[in-house]
Order: sequence, then structure tokens, then C-alpha cells
Amino acid sequence: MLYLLVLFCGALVMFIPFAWSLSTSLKPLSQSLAYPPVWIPRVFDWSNYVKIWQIVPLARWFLNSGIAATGVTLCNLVFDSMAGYALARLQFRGKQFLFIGVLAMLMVPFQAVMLPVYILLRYLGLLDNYFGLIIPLAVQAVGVFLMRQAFLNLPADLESAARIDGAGSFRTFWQLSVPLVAPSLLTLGLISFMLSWNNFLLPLLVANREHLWTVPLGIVMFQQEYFVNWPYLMAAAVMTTIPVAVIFLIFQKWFVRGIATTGMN
Amino acid sequence: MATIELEELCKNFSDGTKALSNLNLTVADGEFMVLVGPSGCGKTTTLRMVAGLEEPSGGTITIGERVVNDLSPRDRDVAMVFQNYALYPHMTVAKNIGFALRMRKVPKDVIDSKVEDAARVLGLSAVLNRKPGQLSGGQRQRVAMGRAIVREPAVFLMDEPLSSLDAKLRVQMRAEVTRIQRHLGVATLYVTHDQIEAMTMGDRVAVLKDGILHQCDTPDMLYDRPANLFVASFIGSPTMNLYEGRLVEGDDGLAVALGEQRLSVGRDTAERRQSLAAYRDRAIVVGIRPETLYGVQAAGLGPGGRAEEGNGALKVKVELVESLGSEFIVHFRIGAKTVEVEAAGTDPELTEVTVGGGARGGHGEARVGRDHEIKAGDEVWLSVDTNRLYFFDLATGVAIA
Amino acid sequence: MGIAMSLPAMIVLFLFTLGPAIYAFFLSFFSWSLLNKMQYVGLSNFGFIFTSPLFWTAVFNTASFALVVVPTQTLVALGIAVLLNQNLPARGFLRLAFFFPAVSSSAVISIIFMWIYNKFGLLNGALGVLGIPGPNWLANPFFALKAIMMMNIWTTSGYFMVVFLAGLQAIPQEIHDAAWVDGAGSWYRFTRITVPLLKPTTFFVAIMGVIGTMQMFDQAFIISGGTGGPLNSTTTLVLLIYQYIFSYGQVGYGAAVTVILFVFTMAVTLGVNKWLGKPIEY
Repeated sequence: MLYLLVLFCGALVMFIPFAWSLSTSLKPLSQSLAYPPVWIPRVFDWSNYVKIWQIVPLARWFLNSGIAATGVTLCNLVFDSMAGYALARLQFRGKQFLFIGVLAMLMVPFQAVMLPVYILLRYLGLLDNYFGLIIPLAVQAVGVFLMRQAFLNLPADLESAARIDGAGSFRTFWQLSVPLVAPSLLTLGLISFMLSWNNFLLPLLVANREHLWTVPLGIVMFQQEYFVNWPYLMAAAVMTTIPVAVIFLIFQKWFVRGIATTGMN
Repeated sequence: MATIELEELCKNFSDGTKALSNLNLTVADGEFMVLVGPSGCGKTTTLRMVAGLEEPSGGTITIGERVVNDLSPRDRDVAMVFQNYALYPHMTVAKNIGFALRMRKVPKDVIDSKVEDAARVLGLSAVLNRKPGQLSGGQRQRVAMGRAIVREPAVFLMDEPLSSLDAKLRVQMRAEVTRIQRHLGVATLYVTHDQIEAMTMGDRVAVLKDGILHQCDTPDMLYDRPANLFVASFIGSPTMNLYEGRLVEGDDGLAVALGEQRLSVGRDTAERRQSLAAYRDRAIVVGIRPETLYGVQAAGLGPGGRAEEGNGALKVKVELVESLGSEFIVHFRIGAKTVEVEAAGTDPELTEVTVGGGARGGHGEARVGRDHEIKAGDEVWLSVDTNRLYFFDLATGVAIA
Repeated sequence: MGIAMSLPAMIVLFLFTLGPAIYAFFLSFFSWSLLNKMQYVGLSNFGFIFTSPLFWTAVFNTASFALVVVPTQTLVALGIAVLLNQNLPARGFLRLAFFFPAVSSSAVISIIFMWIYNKFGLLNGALGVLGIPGPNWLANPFFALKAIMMMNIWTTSGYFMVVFLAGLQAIPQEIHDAAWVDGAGSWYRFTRITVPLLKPTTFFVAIMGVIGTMQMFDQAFIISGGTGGPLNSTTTLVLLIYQYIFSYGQVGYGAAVTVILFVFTMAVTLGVNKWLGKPIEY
């Protein structure tokens, strides 16, 4: 029981910031600045949620985030699983070398190489367009690793059987192996989508013009402009969090699975 | 040194399944009691309740003089050997064996000498500084045993401790575990699904099925006097042949009609089982152990005239002969209805029985010496020791005493 | 076939991970503002960096951030995971609650916390109830980084808790049972069995924590408005790299810091592989 009490207090601490942003987003500006803070708004003022769409091109930002995240997800699903399959199942020269390369890149975060990547993107003409938001995240070493594990866990006999039954190697990959690793693909899709959706640094580097901003970049820029209007900001924060929360609630099992498999090789 | 007494012990899982119903069992001081039964029969649950790892839904558990129902495992003075040994992977063999003593704040030099003694008994002295990951299966098993014996507990609990060993090692460890238990003289509750293990190791064997105790007796008694069809079919390998038969009055005393054939019941048997007479002219189940079908005669020769006392013969068609090297297992078909023992209900008095055809209709097995010339397709006479026939009530499955 | 299938992935990985690292190494020997002509300057960029007080401030900020955040989040995550691993009601809900911040956007969380850390915000309101006058968290050089530390622990503990839960579930229940029967109470089972058997997981969490905290950028950038203020108290190494390109136009300095950071990260990574090479055998 003591455990439960401790845990519920902890969960409350996790919950308070979100609840507070919801509370603030429903107050008129004057009331939001009341001190000491008031939890329940005197009147529920939904107008912040309407005005924010008019003040800033929030819809455009959502669209940009959606395009970038979808692109990143699709690229990762295709490329990571292809490479993962090759590393798990096919024999070719230099395979061991490539695998060690992937392992080495597993833990190099994007931030560490931000500077050369920026110069590269500039050189490749990828600044200020969607490709710049997608290509740098199109392949994740973690994703390749995850898919390799997934393919390794399939019984090898299954593919041998398909080969004996006359399927070629690409056919075997596409029609037999890929459907069987669907759970891992879902995990990979979620990881990739969230990685892009929540990303702040890449849009900061790539998107100089407002019409290409993504939601996180947009609301940060918005904050620096309207930094005193907290109800607006909190309304934007709530709206950005809701899609993430919905996806999270639906797919939480796969999030956890993703961490469990990529977390501890 | 203590006894274990289980009274009306019950366990219902939260999903409503009854794992164990009203078990009464006493393990005497120093006794080796084996709990045996098919998987899901409640034997491991029973053991875990005695250990305190599982809470009973009803009944009492007494170890020595103490009712231990409300005691934590650490206070019950029991030692347990687990199926997968549950060795502590990060500790050396010596630390594994000494762990329980360290938990009881035994002085270090005492621990060391006890660990050394246990290691010597188990032949582990050379590997005391290794970790479990570096040991062979047999060595791990010994470490698990060592961890239990060093405690000098009131009671030993063993949960299928030999099941992850390979066949040869299992036979060897069977003898060793028995030797150690005899040497220490501690009451032991031993769980297994392997009837051979049960028969060779136990002072007494408790046969469980679906959470119900069917019979608890010495191995010889289980073999000779099974209480019902389930016990009869569970004990013995190959399993007992069971046929539907009819008890009739023969030329000299009782006889069993098996299809077209007749088998006179040995006089000894008839005298020992008084209630048999009451079944005259009724359908019953006849059990014939494969090892009591001992000899073979070619069918052309006939049954050798009039059967001698205690001897009978059955005419069968041989379907398959398997050689075990020392003897043959003869699979045959006989003109009688086979009785299959199905999953029993909740009433131990009622073993469900299916009579009849199917693929195994009339099937049987015999163990005969290799000096017989026999091959598939032959029609032969199998000699039967008619003093070692078994009889069961067809409706209830209970042995006819 | 194998090469063809892995080629796209390898090209992208090379272009955006390993390649840039090599390129940064190259750039660190040049003076360049992105607009002028590159000029070879030898090791003088490193010379400048190592004598720059701002660099050492960033190293100090980053290191102290890691030193506070990593142990705290590891302990908090372990504690929650062990409690959650008990057979408790509402387990699923609690796990969700702790995990959710880890999947939320760092930008959104930073903005929410800026509001909470406001001089007249929720935190000071709560402290006021207890009679403690709260500082202006984000404008005070002494408190700004500490505020970001708290926020970071709040965000990442749930993530590492899930890693610990996976590690805990890999320990066979039989071993806990055996220890219990052997006389170990719950504290001894935790310290003598659970903690030692979780060692690989703990190590992994610590290393991931070190790598993550070394790269801290989003929160510092957002909360300081990109300046690393107040008084450079929130300037981290990655933020410094950003400033060298976009504020000072000194690509060479930024590249030199990148090389230092990259080498450190790789060293930590190789350390991980060496340690994780020997998992516990049950």
C-alpha cells in the first residue's frame, strides 16, 4: 500500500505539468497571471483554442510536421528493413564490416554532428524544403538493428521452405518475411514517427522560412514572439500533445516493446 | 527433523480454476514422499504452498509442531531445489551454497566449513570458485542440492530437480539424490511427472490428477494394488493393457470372457479378491500388464492343451515388434474392446472411461523375451500370468478388491 | 543482392552520421564563416577553443548537468521500476503515466516548464504556500541550469524506467523464490539479488544517460532563447557549436568542439559494447 501511495504521488508529479497547461489554456490572459496560481478557471474560456489558429499558421505547421513525419516513417520502414534483412539473412562480402559500422553509429546522436550535417544540407540544397526535413532522418541505425533482430528471430527453415517451393530471394523477403515481422515494423514506425514529429533541432537548422516550420519549431518561435501570452502558448501546447497522447495510448504496448528490444540489445 | 502434515489443503486460482482440492497427506520424519502426476495436476502448487511461495485457499500446513500457513518462506525452515535450479548467476558456487547461511547471520568460519563439507559430499570441491554459467548441467544440479543440504532444514522440497538433465545423468542423479536424502534423514517432498522417478525414489508415492489425490502408497503397492484405472494406467511402462471383459463361471472357478476368448482367473486372485464374485455375469475392466504376457506359442499349436493353474493364453495378431535389445515389445491386436482412461472429473471415485473401437481398438502390448521367434503378421498365443490380472469396476473405474 | 538491399540505408547513415564526423575533423583545421573562402589554420582552432573561457563554461555546464541528471534519473527510474514490478493494481496506468513525458515533444515540455518556472508561476506559487520565496528560476544564473536539470529528470526517468522494467522481467522468478526460501527478506532480495543481476541494465542506462546529457540542446536553446543565458549559465557544448555557426560565423571553432564531443561519445559507446559483451547467463 505504501508502494502504491509513493507511485501515485510520482504519477501525480508526472501529470501536473500537463494538467497545468490545460488549466492555463482555458483562462483569459488576465486570469492566467493571477498569483498565487489558481487551478480551476473561473470561466472556461475556449477562445484561446480558436484564436491561436488565426494568429499563427498552426494548420500549416501541423501539415508540415505530418508530411515530414510520414516521409521519415516510410523511409525508415523501407530502408531499415531492407538493410536489416540483408544483415540478418543474406550472405555477402563486407557484411560483417557493415554491421560493425551500424553498431558504431548506433549511439551517435544527431546533435553531436549537427554542424557538419548543416553544412552538408546547405551544400546539397536541402535547406528550406521538405527533403531536408526527411532525408537526414530517413535511416536510423537503431531501426536497422531492430529489424535485423526481428529477421534473425524468424525460423530459418521457413525461408528455406519458401525457396524450395520456388520463391526467389526478393519474393521470399517481401511476401514471407516482411509480413512476419509486422510487429517490429509497427514499433519501428512509431519510433520513426515520434522522432520526426518531436524533432526540434533539424527543423531549426533546415526551415528558415515560417511556412516550412513544424509544430515544435513553430510554437518555440511563437513563444519568443508572444512570450507573455501564456494561455495561447498553453493552448498550442495542449493541441500539440493531444495527437501524441492518442497515438501513445493506442500503441503503448509497442512503444514499450521498442524500448525493451532496442534498449537492451 | 520434522514431519509435514497437509490437512484439507485447497488452492483456487484467481481465474477460478481449482488447482488442488482437499489434499490430506502426511510425510513422516525422514520419509521420501514423491508427488507424481501429469502436468497441471497440482503437484507443484502443493509444493509451493508448503514452501510459502503460494498462499493456500484453505486447509492447514503443519511442519513439525508448527502450523506454518501464515509464516513467510524464510521462517519455515524449508529448503527447496527448483526445476531450473535458480542458482544465483552472479555468485560463485561457494557463495551460492553459503547464501542461506549468510542470510541467517551464521559466523563466516562456520559457513566456510559447512560449504566445504557440502561440496565434498557432492563432489564440488574443485569448482567452488566458479560461477554457475561455467558449470555443466550435472554440476549445477549438485550446487542446487548443496544449497539445500547446507541449511540442515526441517524439510526438503524438490520441484522436478532432475527434469533438465539428460537421460543418462538423470539416472545417475536419481540414485545420488536418494542416497543424500537417506543420509540426512530429512522429510522430503519431491515433485515429478516421471513415474519411473517416482517409483525408484519414493518411500511412498502420492498420485495426483486434476488437483485430486488418487492414491498414496508405497511403489510396490501402487504397482500391485492400484486404487483405480488412472493409477493403474499411470504406473508402469509400457502401460497396462485394459479391456472390457465379462466375469463368468468357467470350468474351474471364475473366468474372464474377452471377446471370443476365455481366460480363467487364477485361484489365488479369486481368493484374494472376495468382492470379485459379486461381479459374476457383469461387464468389468480387465487389466493385463505387458510384462505378465510373457511367452509366445505359434497359433497352430493351440493353447497347449488345458491351461495349468495360474496360466492362461490369449490368441492375438502381431502388428509390430520393437526390439529393446534385451527383450521385445510386441504390439498386437486382440478381439476385445480397449478401455481408454480419460481425464477424470472432480470425483476421485469416478475415473471416466471410454470403451471401444477407435484406432486403438483391441490394441495391446506385451514384453516378451528375445528367444521367441515372432514377427509382424503372425497369429500367436501369448501366455498370461493369471494370478496377476487386475479388475476394475467398469462404471466407476475403482479397483475391485 | 545483400549489398543492393543494404545500400540505401548505408548511404544515408554514412552521409548523416559517420561522414559528417569525418568532415568535422577536416573542417576543424580551417577557418571559415560559410560565406568566405576556407583557410587552412592547422591546430589553431583547437588552441583557441582550449583557451576560450566560454568553452570551459560549456564543458562545466554540460558536465555538471550530466553529473546531476544521470545518477538521479537512474536511481529514480530504478526505484519506480522496482515498485512497478510488484503485483500492484493500476500497474498499467501507472506505467503509462510515468512513461508519457518521454514520448512528448521536448519543445512543448520546455515551454510548459518555462511557464511553471515563471517568477509568478506554479512552482513559486507552491513554494509560497510553504512560506518559501521562490527565485526567478530561469533568469537567475544560479538556478537556470538546475531548473533544466529537474525538467530533464522529470522527462527521461520514465523512459529509463521502462528499460529497467524489461531488465527486471528478464530475471527468472525462480531466483527470487529461491532467495526467499533461503531466508532473504525483501530488502536483501533487492540488494543481493535484484541489484547485482540488473548490473548490465544499470550500466546501459547510465551510459545512455551520459550520451544523452552530453548532447543536451533543445531545452537549453528554448529556455534561453538560444543565448545560453543568463550569463552563459545554460550554454552547453552543443549550444556552443550552434552559436559558433549561427551567431559567430566561426565554423572552424564549431568543428573543433564537434570533434571533441564526437570522440568522447565514441569512446563511451565503445566502452558500452565492451561491457555489454558479457550478459548474465541464467
